[in-house]
Order: sequence, then structure tokens, then C-alpha cells
Amino acid sequence: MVCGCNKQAAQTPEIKKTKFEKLSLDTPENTKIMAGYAEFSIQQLEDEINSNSEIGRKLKSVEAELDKY
Amino acid sequence: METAKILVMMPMKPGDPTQHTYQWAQKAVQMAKDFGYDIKTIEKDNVTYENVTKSIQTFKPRLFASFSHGCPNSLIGQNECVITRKFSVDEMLEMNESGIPEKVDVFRKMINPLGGISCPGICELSNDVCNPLCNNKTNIGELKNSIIFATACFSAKQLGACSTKYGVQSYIGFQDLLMFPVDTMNSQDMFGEVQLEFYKSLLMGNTVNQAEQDMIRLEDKYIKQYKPIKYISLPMLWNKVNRRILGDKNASLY
Repeated sequence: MVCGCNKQAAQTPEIKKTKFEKLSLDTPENTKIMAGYAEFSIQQLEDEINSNSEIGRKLKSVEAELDKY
Repeated sequence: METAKILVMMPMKPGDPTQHTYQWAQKAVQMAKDFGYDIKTIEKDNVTYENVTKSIQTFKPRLFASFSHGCPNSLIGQNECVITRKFSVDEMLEMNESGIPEKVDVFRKMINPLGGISCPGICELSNDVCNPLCNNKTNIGELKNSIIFATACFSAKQLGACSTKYGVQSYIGFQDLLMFPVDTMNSQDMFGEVQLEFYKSLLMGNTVNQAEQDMIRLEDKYIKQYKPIKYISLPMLWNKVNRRILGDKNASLY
């Protein structure tokens, strides 16, 4: 007796990396990000994410979580 | 049945994030009035340690809502900490020297809530409201048997964790920064709406747990809708990830 197993590779949904179309709803020049007791420009937050600071790493980790949405 | 009492604390400084959270607080106050609640507010320069403490003692709110700055062990009023669990120098040293990672982490968070930051980046910080640490006497116990809803940074990290030990039934807040964009298209309104979704659900008589689910539904809707726009979806998800619900999730206003 031939036992045919038609094995299929387990299919897991592919999580696509988030691609941002733009940085902000308004122009970056018109946008401030309130964080804590201060306000920051988009560029400042981008610099922070691109650095290896503690908060930069946390922001990057949350950015990666967006991939699941 | 006596109408539940709601106390809203709403400091405000122009050009400061509280300029926007104050507007959220105004909506919260109107909502409570529309629902027929017994509501009291403490606003702007009146948000002092003395006024807040006395108001809690005399008014005895069931819900205390703070739209303010926050630090790991305090909520901040107009110019000083106003709700706090004060830590002595000995307690701080004990935390740092405990060797227990959780306690050391809390100690570090209290001394330096932001952690390491970079230049260029967000290194230009002034008016650090969390430095020095709050020196006012512990008064979190005055909110025993209440629900605290803190739209404020950091306070769930230690104040929230302590609050339940002091008899607070439920504490809703954040363990890290609260972030939102401000622009000419009023993107900040979306973030206020999300905060108020939780608050509104409580006003409708739902439990803390149900209110959180209602908030998550709206949050997820916005995150998905604005996913391609980085500085809408990222701060929206950041706030969700850093929110903490402590204590009794079955608590409700009645």
C-alpha cells in the first residue's frame, strides 16, 4: 500500500514590513511631536530612532510592531 | 443612589503639551456634565499640591482624572507635583542596591525617566518636570477607593503601582512617554479622542476592562487607517504599548 502524503509546507501569513508613504499628515515643517514635557520636530524623532539610544531602540521596536497591523 | 463624583485636574501652560491636554480635559468635563455627574475641576494655576489634596479630601471623588504631566512617582500640577508617593533617600538607595532587576529598573526610571537619549535627537530638554524628584508628602492614599485615570507620562511606572497598595481601586496611566503629533490639521484631536473613549466608556457605567476594550477598538482602527503615515501610527501604537491598567479591572463608577 502506498501511503501518499501530500506534504505541504506549513503556511504562515507573511508579515510585510511597514512602508510609510509619508512621515506626517501635515507637512513635517508644520508638525510637532509632543512627548513628555517638550515638543520635538519630526527630524529630531527620526534622529533619535536612528541612534542607538534607549528611547531610539524602544521607538524602533514599536515601529516593528506596526508590521502586524 | 448618590451620583458618582468626578474630579478633573487640568493644568495648562501655553506652548506646552498641556495646552492640548487641557482641551481634552475640557471635553472630559463637558462629557461628565452631559451625563449628569457631580463634577469638580481644578484648573491652571489652581493646580497646586495644597488645592488638589484638599479637594480630594473634601470632595471624595469616585473618579480622579488627570490631564497633566507625570513622572514615575507623581502627577504634576501647574508648577509642582500634586499627587505623589514620596520616596525617602534611604528607600531610593535600598532600591538601587537591592540587586533586584525590577527595583533597580524603577530606581533608574525615577532618576532618569527618559533613559538614554541622543544628540542629534531629542537631547534638547529643558524644564525637566521630573527633576528634582517630588518632595511633597505622600498623598496618593487620599484617593483610596477611587479610580484614577491619568493622561500623563510615566506615572503608571511607580505611582500607579504604589496606588493600589494605598487602596486605590484601579489606576489607568502610562509607564513611559505619552506622545502625540500637533499640526495645522489638528491630528492631536485623534489622540484626545482615543483617551476620551476610555473615559466615556467609564461614564457610561462600563468596567475598566470594558472601557479598555472600547479604547483599543478605536486605537486599532486609527493605527490601521493611518499605518502609512509614520508619525500618526507610530505614536498611536507607542501609547497603546505603554498604557498600563493596574488594580481591579472590574472596577466601575458605580
